[in-house]
Amino acid sequence: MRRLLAYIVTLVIGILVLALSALFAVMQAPKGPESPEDETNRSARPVPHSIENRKNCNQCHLPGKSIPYPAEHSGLPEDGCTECHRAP
Amino acid sequence: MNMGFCRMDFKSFLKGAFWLGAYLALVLAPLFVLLSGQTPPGRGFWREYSAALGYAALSMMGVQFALTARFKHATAPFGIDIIYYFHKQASLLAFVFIVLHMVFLFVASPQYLLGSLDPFTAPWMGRTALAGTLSCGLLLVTSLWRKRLGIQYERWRLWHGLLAVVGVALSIAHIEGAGYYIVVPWKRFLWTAYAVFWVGLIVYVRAVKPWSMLRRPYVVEEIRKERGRAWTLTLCPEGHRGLTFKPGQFAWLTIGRSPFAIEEHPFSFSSSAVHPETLSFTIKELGDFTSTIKNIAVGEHVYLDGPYGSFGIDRHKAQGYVFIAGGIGIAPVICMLRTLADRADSRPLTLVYATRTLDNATFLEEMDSLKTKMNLNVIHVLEEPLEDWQGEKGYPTMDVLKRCLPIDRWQYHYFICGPDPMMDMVETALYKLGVPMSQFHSERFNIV
Repeated sequence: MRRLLAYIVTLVIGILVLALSALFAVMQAPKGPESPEDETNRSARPVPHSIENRKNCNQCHLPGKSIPYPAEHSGLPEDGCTECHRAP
Repeated sequence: MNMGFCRMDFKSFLKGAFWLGAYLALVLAPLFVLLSGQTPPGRGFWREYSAALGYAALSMMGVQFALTARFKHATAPFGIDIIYYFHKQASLLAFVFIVLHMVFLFVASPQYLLGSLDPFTAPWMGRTALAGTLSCGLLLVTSLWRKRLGIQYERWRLWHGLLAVVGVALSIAHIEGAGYYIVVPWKRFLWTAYAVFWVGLIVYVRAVKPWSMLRRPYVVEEIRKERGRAWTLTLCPEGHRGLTFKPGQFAWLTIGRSPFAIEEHPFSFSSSAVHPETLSFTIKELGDFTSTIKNIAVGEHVYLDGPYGSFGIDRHKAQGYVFIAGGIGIAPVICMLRTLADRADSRPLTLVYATRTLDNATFLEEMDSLKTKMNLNVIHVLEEPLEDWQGEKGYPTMDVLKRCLPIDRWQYHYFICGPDPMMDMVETALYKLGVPMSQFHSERFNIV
C-alpha cells in the first residue's frame, strides 16, 4: 500500500510536470498553438540572394563565418535551409 | 482508502513534504531559470512544449542519481525501499517525457525531427539525442525485465550505472549542442553547474562513499548455521568503534571485495540494537550470492554501508506490537525482539511466523526462550505441517490473523516482513480487519 502511495505521488508529479511544461510553452509562445506552416511562413525570411552554384549554405553561414545563422538554428539539418527559407 | 494517514507522525510528514518539494524544485527549477531574463524568441507552442519536456526529462534523469545516493535524511521519512520504487517509477516517467519530447517535435516540425534523428546525416546534436534515448531505453528494458532476460544482478547493476551515466551525458551533450535556451552565458553556467552537480553525486556514490567504507572495515567473527537454510554472519569492527543502528534497520554489505566493486547486497541486522559492538546478519540461501555465505572465512573483511531503513519499533510508539514474518523475513523481527528483550520491555507482543515446516522455523529455540523473558505470544503458521500439528496451517490469511491478533488490534503497530505475495495478503487482511494503514509497516527489496 506504501507502493500505491508512491505510485500516486509519481502520477501527481507527472501531471505537474506536464502542466508546468505547458505553461512554459505558453509563456514562450504567448499566441498559443500554431501550425508548423504558420510558424514557418511567419518567421522564415526568403533567401536574399540567388543560390545558383551556392548549394552549401554552411560555407558562409556557419557560426564564425561571414554571415552566421542565428544560434537557435544550430543542429538543424545542413541541407535543409531552403525548406523554410525560400530561394528566389 | 483508510484515513489512518491523517494520524501520521506530523514531524515525519513535514520532513517528507520538504523532500518531495526539494525533488520537485530540482526537476522544475531549470525550466523557469531558462525562462527568466533574456529569452530567445518562441518557436510555436508544440516546439516549446517539446523543449520544456526535454529539459524536465533530463532533470528527472539527473535527480535519479540523488535518489540512489542513499542520503539518510532524505530517505528516512519514506523508507529506502519506497525511494527505490519511486526511482523506478520516475525513470519510466522520464522516459515517457523523452518520447513526448520527440512526438511534440514531430507535431511541430516533422522534417526537423526526422532530419535530426537520421544516424547517417544528422548533426552530432541529433546523434547524441538518438544515442541517449537508446541508452535510456536499454536501461529501462534491462531493469523491467532483468530476470526474464536472465541477467545476473551484479552484472545488471554495473551496466545499469554505466547506461545511466552514458544516457545523461549524451542528453547533456544534446542540450549543449542545441543551445537554444542556454545562449546567455549565466544560463549556460547554471545549466553546466547543474550537470556538474549530478557528476558530483556519481563521484560521491562511487568514490567518496566506498573510500569512507574502506577506512571502516569489519571482520567476520563467526558463521553459524541456522534452521531453514539460513546462516548468521557475525561481524566486529576493526580499528574503529563500529556503528549504532535502530532495531529493524538494514545495511548494504560488501563481502570479500573492495567497496569500490559494485557488488553489495542489502541485509537486515538480526542482532540486538542494544549491543552494536558485534553485528549479526541472518541470510537465507536463496540465490547465487546468498548461497556462498557459508563459504566465507572467519577473519575475512566485510564493508558496511548503513544503517538504513524506517522499518522499526523505535519510529512508532505503541502500546504493543505485532510482528508478521514469513521465512527469512524473521531477520529484522528477531532484531526487534532481541532489542525489546534487552530493554526489558514489558509491552504485549505477538509474533505470527509463517514457514513451510516447524523444522524450517529459523530461531525456533530462541523464540521459546524469549517467551519466558517477555510478554510475547508466538504463533507458527505452517504450510506443510506434520499430521499431529495442532496449530495454524496454511498461510497468514485474514481468517488466521483474525484468530491470532489481539482483541484490541487497532491499538497495535504491525511489522510485516516476508515474500511479496505474503506481504500483499497480510496488508490487505489487516486493512479489512480495520487496522489503520498508518499502523502497519513493511519494507520490500524485490525491485528488479
